[in-house]
Amino acid sequence: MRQSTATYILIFVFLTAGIFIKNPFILNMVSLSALTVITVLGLNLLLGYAGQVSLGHAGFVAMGAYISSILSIKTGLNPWLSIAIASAITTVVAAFIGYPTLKLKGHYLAMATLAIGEIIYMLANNLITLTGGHQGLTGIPMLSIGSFTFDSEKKFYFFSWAVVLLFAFVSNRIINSHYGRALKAIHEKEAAAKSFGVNVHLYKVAIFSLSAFYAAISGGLYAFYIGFISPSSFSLLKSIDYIVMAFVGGIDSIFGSIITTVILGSLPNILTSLQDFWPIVNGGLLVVAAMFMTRGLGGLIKWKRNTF
Amino acid sequence: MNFAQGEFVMLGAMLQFYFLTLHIPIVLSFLLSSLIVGVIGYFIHAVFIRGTRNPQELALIVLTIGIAMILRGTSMLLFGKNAHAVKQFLPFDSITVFGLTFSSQYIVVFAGAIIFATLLFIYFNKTNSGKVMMASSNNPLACRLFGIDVEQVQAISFFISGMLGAIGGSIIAPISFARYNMGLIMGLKGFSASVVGGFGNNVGAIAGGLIIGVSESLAAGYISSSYKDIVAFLIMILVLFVKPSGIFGAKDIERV
Repeated sequence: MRQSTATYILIFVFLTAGIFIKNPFILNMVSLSALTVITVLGLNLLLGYAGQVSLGHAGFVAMGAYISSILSIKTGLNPWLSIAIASAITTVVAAFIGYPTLKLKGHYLAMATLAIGEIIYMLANNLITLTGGHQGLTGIPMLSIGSFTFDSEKKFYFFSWAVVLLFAFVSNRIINSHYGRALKAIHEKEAAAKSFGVNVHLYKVAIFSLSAFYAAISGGLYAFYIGFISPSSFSLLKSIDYIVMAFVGGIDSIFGSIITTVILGSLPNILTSLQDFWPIVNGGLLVVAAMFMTRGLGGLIKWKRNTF
Repeated sequence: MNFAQGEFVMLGAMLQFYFLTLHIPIVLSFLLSSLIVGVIGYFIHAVFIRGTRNPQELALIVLTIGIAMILRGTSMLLFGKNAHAVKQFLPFDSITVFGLTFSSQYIVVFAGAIIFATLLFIYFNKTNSGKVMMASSNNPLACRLFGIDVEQVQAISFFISGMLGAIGGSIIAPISFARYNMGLIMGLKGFSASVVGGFGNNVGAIAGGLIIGVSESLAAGYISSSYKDIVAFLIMILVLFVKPSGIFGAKDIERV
């Protein structure tokens, strides 16, 4: 089976499962995982197709969440519009960071994104008049289309997985396009890609900005779903969680990433008593994946290759 | 690049705290903690870096991030989430120079920085093994052709960086306290300093550290102490924009 087909089937399984799940706790948990999936899909594009790692994706999620909620609380802007504006701003900021750092050989981007993530985290904590500081921001309105409001767990569950479907589709289209193949070539052998006329720097900056866009959308939807955001949801540990999900799932596997994200996103909510062990578990998973299975869970399955 | 470097600093500070609670003399606990972390660094190289099936750059970076998480999580389980106060090295608490009073530990930090920077400078420029280490990092393939055991050199460099990280950690601990999550911010500050000064340049690293440190203090004094960390990172990003090779860096930094 082709991986893209398997991915769409998997998402439809989640969508139909929503009809039968009655427990609001589970619905809520899986919806939040769906939002995380969006961020991880973006990170996948960066890891798998630019060969770079970002340690600040939680910062981009935070930008999406904070900018959109502040806009709609202070100016009464339509939530959808404010999410769009916040995502656009985040994308521009990412391009701004990526432009100088992706020019350099080596992993300057990892450090620069780590710094950006920390800066955003500290701003969220300290700009109290805007962000509410560590006590968080409340009173964020709910999303609605016309008179239909996403006010129950069930409604949001379907909505969040529909958004995942949309973004998985976009990712698939990018991966299987001329653009995606050029990126793949950059990751395999940069000099070879360059000699075929691929503008390596531009492509890398574009894919990094796109992955920040994914993160910002996810952050914006999160804010309007929960109705409350605080800096602790966007700490550095979250960025590392995203890396674990993307890397263990398989850096170029959308299918594997969705499964890993739902599992790793849900487990801490179920096994709350083991909370203190999560950093070690996450670190261990990362070490094992990096040492022995670079292509992650998604790489264990023999997919039918696209012929182009 | 090793993302576990900051965790070495944290481990140094933590072990220093732990040995002092066991009433081990301060000099001995300092030596012990730096030696132990050096050995941990050596083992990390032997078990993980050398044992990996997949020595690609991206996988190695993700690997060190994983190791950093394990070290941090283990330290949290062993020593708890609180910040621990660590005793000063010198027997007196504070010192007054020209009417300014500050903690006596600052003398130790200052002296330590000068001593270890000098030692490193001598090691990398005057001794054979230091020159070999530089060469192995610049061009491992050429070194292998000359019959140098690059893996062994790497193992030693992990030992040294573990030891130096721990020395820094245990010296700074009386000022900054020892806490399980101090590692990443320390590592990031160290990286900022070396980017500002010029990567792989010892004089630059000291200059970069001074620039970052002084501007942080100025920001804390004139703006607000909660924004002082932001300043360090903003300076780093600015330098990456304007002169990515750093202030003292060589011109031939590789660009894509």
